[in-house]
Amino acid sequence: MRSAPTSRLVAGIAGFGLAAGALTGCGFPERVVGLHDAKVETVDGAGVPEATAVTITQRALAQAGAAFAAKASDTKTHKAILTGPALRIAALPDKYTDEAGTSLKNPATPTILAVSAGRDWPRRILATTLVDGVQWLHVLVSEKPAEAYKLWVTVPMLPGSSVPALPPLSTGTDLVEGDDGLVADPPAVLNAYGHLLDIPAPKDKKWAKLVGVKDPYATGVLAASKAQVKALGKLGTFTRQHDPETKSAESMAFRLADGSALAFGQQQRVDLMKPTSKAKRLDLPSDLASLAGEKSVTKQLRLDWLLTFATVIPKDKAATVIGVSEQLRDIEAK
Amino acid sequence: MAILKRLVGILLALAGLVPLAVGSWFAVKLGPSGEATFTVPDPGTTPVVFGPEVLNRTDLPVRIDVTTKPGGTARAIVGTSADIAAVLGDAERRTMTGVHVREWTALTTRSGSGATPDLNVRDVFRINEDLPERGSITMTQDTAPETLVIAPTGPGFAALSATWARDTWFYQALVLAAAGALLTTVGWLLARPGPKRRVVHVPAGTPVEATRAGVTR
Repeated sequence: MRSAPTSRLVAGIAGFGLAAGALTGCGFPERVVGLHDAKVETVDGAGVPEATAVTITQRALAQAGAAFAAKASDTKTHKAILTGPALRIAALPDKYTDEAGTSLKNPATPTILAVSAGRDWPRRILATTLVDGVQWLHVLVSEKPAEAYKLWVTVPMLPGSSVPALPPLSTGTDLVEGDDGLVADPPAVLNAYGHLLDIPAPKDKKWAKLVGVKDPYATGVLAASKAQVKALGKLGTFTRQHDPETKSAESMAFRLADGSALAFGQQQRVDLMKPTSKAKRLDLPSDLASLAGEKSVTKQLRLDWLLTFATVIPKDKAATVIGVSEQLRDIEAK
Repeated sequence: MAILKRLVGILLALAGLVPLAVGSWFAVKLGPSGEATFTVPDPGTTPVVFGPEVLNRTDLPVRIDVTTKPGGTARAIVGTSADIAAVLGDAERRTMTGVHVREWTALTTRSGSGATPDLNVRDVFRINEDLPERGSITMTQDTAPETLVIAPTGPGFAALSATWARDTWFYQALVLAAAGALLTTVGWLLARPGPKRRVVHVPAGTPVEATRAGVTR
């Protein structure tokens, strides 16, 4: 008589127990705690996400602007945020106004063009800002984990020029070593470009195959050289000589989406004017006279320039210079 | 049949005691807010690393509570595992690898032997901040996977713990305890001795109209 209700009760309790177990006990880690495998960290792709790159670039450009504004002798301030070509410009004597520093006084919000691929160091960020209608390219470098990003180069783009497509930001951009897949390596291209602008005119025809000189800067320099030679006539001589800025031909190149490269590097240029025996003296324009401390020269005027370039180097065609910064760094008048 | 019923009752009661004890214990430990806190035993002075295998194993935020000894502070850095590893180098550290639920402690392993590098590094980490003598940092899952390092400065840690919170855990513990209590009660009811059997002597010749269980003639 009591066995049937008892069985129902036991079955009910067992059912309740199973339900409670399902709610609380069975598959405890997964169902109750919600335990699952952690997401796998990707080790390829961009070294830093875009948002972080923007923050880093904003901070670095603001600091770089302050560093450029510091005295040339303040190497500690310069080296804290500048390196490579940018440091070289900031270290120039204060009397030579640098346009790089001027552009960084009020840096605009940067747009990130590229972030070096991979988690290793050094890491690079390629960014651009628009300042007073001029598009500037900036490269930031972090050499090692414990070192913050520093401004490596900053250069204005030439009017009408553009940067070809870069790989997607999230995948990161590879750096180009040497002439890997390019018509020539960046130092060779810059060397050719410099020689093509030399006065007297170059004789090696292979340079013209490496880089074109139809950009606004080259056109302007060649025209100015021609005008200078013409102006001096038989009263003086004018020479213009380009050379690599550093023995190691320091450069950096980002691989573009089509396999070409966007390269940065520096050259030095020396302009030399000497009056001939037919000239009594050469009078200097007021700005040069002010810098030189002389109103005229009887022996020579020597202008030493530091040039910073941004160049697009294709795989098999002549390269194109898309950005130039021309910085006077020394003047000798006697 | 009676023996079988009592046996089932005893088994049910015993089976119910386990969830009753476990559920009650969890309910007391978790509290109404359902906080599961695991402390790092003897945290000492070396940095403690919380990797994705700890921080990102659930969809819940993880709160790391840090208490340093008087006069000390701690630096909290958050970044990718690869970046953290690159900055720490061979620095001595403890890495949390899991939890010991019964003791509510964090399981850790030691590695490295070098000194702790300067962690005041810009740009590499998403978070790099000083914590006060008693501070905390909460890691959400929005930016997973990430690694957190808590490095003490000065006299070292007084206490360090990781907390996951989910209020339903408390109610689940209560349900478990209630289920266990119910099983135990029913089991006890089944297992308890029945009412003492009475012997009724019926005079001879008296008609018997009804027979109840437990009554014999």
